[in-house]
Parts: sequence; structure tokens; C-alpha cells
Amino acid sequence: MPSLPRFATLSCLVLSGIAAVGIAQRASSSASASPATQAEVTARLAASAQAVLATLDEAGRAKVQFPFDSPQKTRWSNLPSPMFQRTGLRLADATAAQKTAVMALLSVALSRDGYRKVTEIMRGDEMLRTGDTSGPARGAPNGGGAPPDRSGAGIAGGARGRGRGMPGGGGPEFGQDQYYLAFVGTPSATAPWMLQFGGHHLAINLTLMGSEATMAPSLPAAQPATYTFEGQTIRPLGRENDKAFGLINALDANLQRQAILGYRVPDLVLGPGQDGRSIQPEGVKASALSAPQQTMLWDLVREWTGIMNDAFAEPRMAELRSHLNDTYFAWSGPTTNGSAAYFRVQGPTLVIEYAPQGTVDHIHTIYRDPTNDYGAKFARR
Amino acid sequence: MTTERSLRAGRTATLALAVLATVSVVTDVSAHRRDEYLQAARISIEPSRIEVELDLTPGIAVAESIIAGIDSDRDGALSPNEMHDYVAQVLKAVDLRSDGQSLRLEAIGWDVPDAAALRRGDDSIRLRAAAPLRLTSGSHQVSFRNSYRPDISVYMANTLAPDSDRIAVGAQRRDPEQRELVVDYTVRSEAFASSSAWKFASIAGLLLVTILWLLRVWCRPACPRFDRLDPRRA
Repeated sequence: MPSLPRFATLSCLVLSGIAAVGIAQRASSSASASPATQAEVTARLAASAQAVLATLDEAGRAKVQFPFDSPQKTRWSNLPSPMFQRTGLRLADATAAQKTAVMALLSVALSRDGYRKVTEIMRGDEMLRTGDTSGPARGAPNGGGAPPDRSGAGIAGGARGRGRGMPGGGGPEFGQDQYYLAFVGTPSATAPWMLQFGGHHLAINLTLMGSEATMAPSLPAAQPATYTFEGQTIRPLGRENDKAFGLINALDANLQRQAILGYRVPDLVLGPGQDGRSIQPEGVKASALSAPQQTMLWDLVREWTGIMNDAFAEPRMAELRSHLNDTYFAWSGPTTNGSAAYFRVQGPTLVIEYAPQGTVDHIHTIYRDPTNDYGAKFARR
Repeated sequence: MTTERSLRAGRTATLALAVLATVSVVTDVSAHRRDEYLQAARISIEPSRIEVELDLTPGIAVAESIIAGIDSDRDGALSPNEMHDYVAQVLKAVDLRSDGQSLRLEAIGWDVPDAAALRRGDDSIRLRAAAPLRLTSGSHQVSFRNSYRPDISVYMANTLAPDSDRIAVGAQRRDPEQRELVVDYTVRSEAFASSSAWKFASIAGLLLVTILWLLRVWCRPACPRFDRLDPRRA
């Protein structure tokens, strides 16, 4: 063989090897759930969304559907309505059948834990409305350690509160009926669309494109962060809190020194309005942690990625693990569980922040993918 | 007879009552930031300038005093001129330095919600300012200090991940209250950035040429299309 072809063959083999490793890494990021499974879930979601639309008349459908590239995509907030003016189908205005269809849709879009978290956040807001720690009027899904009821009966059959407001009206509205559903784009098994569900202390933005899905950005928050319902203590974001305190206390003094920021962080840095942005990472590198500590970190991250259906959460977790060397864990505040402490997990495609609002009983969190908020990465492909 | 003064007094009293009602109802049920003025700064380091974004969010208990500081003609609305003066007042309290040299921050824009939204504590004044900079390659330091309304404020100061591959952010230091942020960073030469692009293009080109050559060598007997493309066989 002449020397040039031999060189070319060798170069090609080396380059092909590099390409194969890259392709394998990419494939491993979606190996946990086959594309067929993800596509299947998207199809079920689209069907469930169409079932919601079928319960609405023409005016109702016009109210809940928005073009995919409309400004509605970025319209969400942690604030209660009407401090933040939401659009879409408000549960307070929905019939029992419509509410049931909405909750059925959420039960497909979200994992079992995600559904529990969302309904517990909504029920917490009901506590704010009533000021009653014994829970909503009737039939709410149970929480705590018991399996969550995914029938939606609690929300569908709960108190029909118009919200607690200021004298003369126009004040903030609280309660589990003050949550809105909107579709950005037409629900489809293949075309891009987005499911928005949110209200006070909750913004779920699930963007789907065929077998791919992202829940970035989303804002699960809680106030009260602890309440009693049917004799059980409910903490909508309790696992996030406990896992984070577990991790910071599992670090030795040297790693803690790297993780703990020497300053107070009073709020979310990349909260609403900071789409696609990224700050310079700080804290301890995940690659510096021991294997059990890394497991604890991914278990913590899973509390956010795992809100969406497992079929989408698994490949997302695999992708995040592939960025181990560029992932950071940062902490601000005391390390004794029960204290108000801020923490952040940040990687090239991830921002998670947990920010107590001056008290352990009022928590804001944010979940982002600066490269893929609202499915920006899917759209580029 | 109703005078302008009495009308104004009436309006003020109504406003005060409304604010009081808002405070009592909202804080009763939702402990959003109440008696603090949150000032969140984001610093962006670019090869030719440093940009500062500042989000100013008054809690409902301090909003009235902030609005009073802006609304100099006391008409209840925040006019462009009043905002211009307010932004200048805020920026005067911001000290920005590059390698120890003071930089002059110029406002390049601001968004201001209506006064009612500020009073409710559910919106922010967002301002952007920038200082031009002529950076040479090598190590540099930028320091930012916000001294505006320390009596009621809580602060945040963060460095945005740079857009330019010429900028590499290093260590960041803050005081415990985040009023001050010092950032070490490195500026790479333009030649470095462009040489990286050339390296990538060269590797991609080499890969393409190699693949085409191999296809030609390996497929010649089996691929008639390649034969047809070979001008020597024409």
C-alpha cells in the first residue's frame, strides 16, 4: 500500500475512533429510556392535552392555546395572580370534568414524585388562602409518605376558592384553584409544543419535540414549606432540603470550605426573566467529591429533573452525569438542618437554586438548562 | 372649597391606606420581601466594555419611600425625567474599577414598572449601564461596589459567564453582604481566539479530505458511481 493511503487510513481510524467515542457518549445519554418510550409518552401527553381541549368550547380553546413562538412561552412567575397576570384555563373557572382532564394530563406529564410535589405545592397555597392547617375542604390527594392519588380528585373536588384578596378586590389570589393551564403550540406527538402549568409558587414549563422534552425553566416553590394535612406532616420540598443538608454534612472540612460561599445569598440569582443566562460557577467541583458523595449530589439533582415523566428524566440525568467535571455545588448559610440555607448546583447545561426567603417556611427554587430553556437546543437541531 | 392641597392630602391618605391594606393582607399570607430593598447586580465582562445590570426590587414596606425618592413632582407617576435622575443617583453610588482605575458607568437603558406594581412589591426597576474599556491581553481585575441605600438594602452581585472566548473569569471575592465583588480575569489575544477557530477548521477539513480519499480507494471496484466520476475513465 502506498504511504499516503496508509496515512489516510490511520488518520481515518483515529478520527473515527474519536467520533465513535463521542457518538457512544451521546448514545449513553439517552440509553436509559429508549426513544420509543419517550416518543410514546409524548404521544400520550398529546392525546391527554387534546382531551383537555375537547372539554372546552371554541372560546375556551382560544383562551388556552397560543402560537409556539408567542411571548406566552416566557410568561410565568412565582407571584400570585393578579400580581402577575396569567392567561390560560384557570382551575377556578373550570368545570369538574375539565379539572379532572387537567389533572389527568399532569399525571402523564409528571412522574409520580413530580405529581406529588405539584399537588402538595398547590395544597400549600390552599393553606395560605384558608389559614387553616387542617387542609382543604374535602377529598384532596394525600401526601407525606403515602402514595399520591393521581386521579386529581383532590384538586378537582377541592374548595372552589376565589382567593383571598385585598379590600375592594384586585389583591393577590391564593388557593389550589388559582392555577392556570396553557398550551404554547398545538399538542402533537412530533411537532414542538409546550405545556405550561402554574400559579403562586409554581411554574412548570414542559417543552416537547417528538421524543425529546425539557422542563427548563421551571420554578417549584413552597409556602408554607411544612404543614399538616389529615394528620400527616407535608413538606413539598422537604426532600430537596434534607438531601442538600445531607450532602453538605457528608463533605470533609476541606470540601466544605470549597463548597461554602463566604457571603449571604438572599434570593434566586437566575430566577424569572433570566432565561438562557449563566453565571460564573462557584463552589466545589463534583469531580472532587467521593463516589458516595457524587451519588448524593445526583440524587439531589434528581429531585428537580425527576419532576417530569421518568421517560424524560432518565436521559436528562445521564446527560448531566456526563458533565461531572464541570458541575459545581455551592452553599451559603448554616449547615445544620432546620436552618435557612441557600444552595446551587450548576453545570454547563444545568442551574438549580434553592433559596429560602428569609425563613425556612418560604422556599423558592429554580431549575434551568441555560442551553435549552424552552427547548432552544431542540429548535436549533 | 376643595383646594389642590386638600385634594393632594386626600389622595395621599387614600394611598397610605391602600398601601397599609396591601401590606397587612399580603404579608399576612405571603411573606414576600417586605422591608428590604433587593439590589441584584450582574456584571458582564466583554473585551471592549464592562456592563452592569441592576435589578432593584423594593419590598412593600419600603416601596413608598423609594417611590417618594423618585417622584420628585409628587404626581404619583414616575416620569422619564424622574427616572433619569434616579438612575443617575443610583449609579453615583456604584463604584466600578478596572485594575484599580475608576470607570465611569453610563446608563444605557432602564425599564420601570408603574408605581402601583412597585408599591405592591411585585416588580422591579431594571437598569443597564456600561463603561468602555480597552483591554490588553493578560491578567486583569474588576471591582464593583454598590453603596446605594445601605440602610434598607440587601445585595447580590454575580458575574455572568462571558460570551467571548477571549475572556476567562478566575477567582471571585465578595464581602459577606455582597455589596462588593472583585473578579480576576484573563484576556486572551485575538490571535489566540482566531487560531482556535483555524485549528478546528483545519481538523475538520483534514477529516473530510481523508474520508473522501478512503472512499475513493476502497470503493473504486464496487462503486460504479465513483468510476463514473473519475475523469481518467471518461
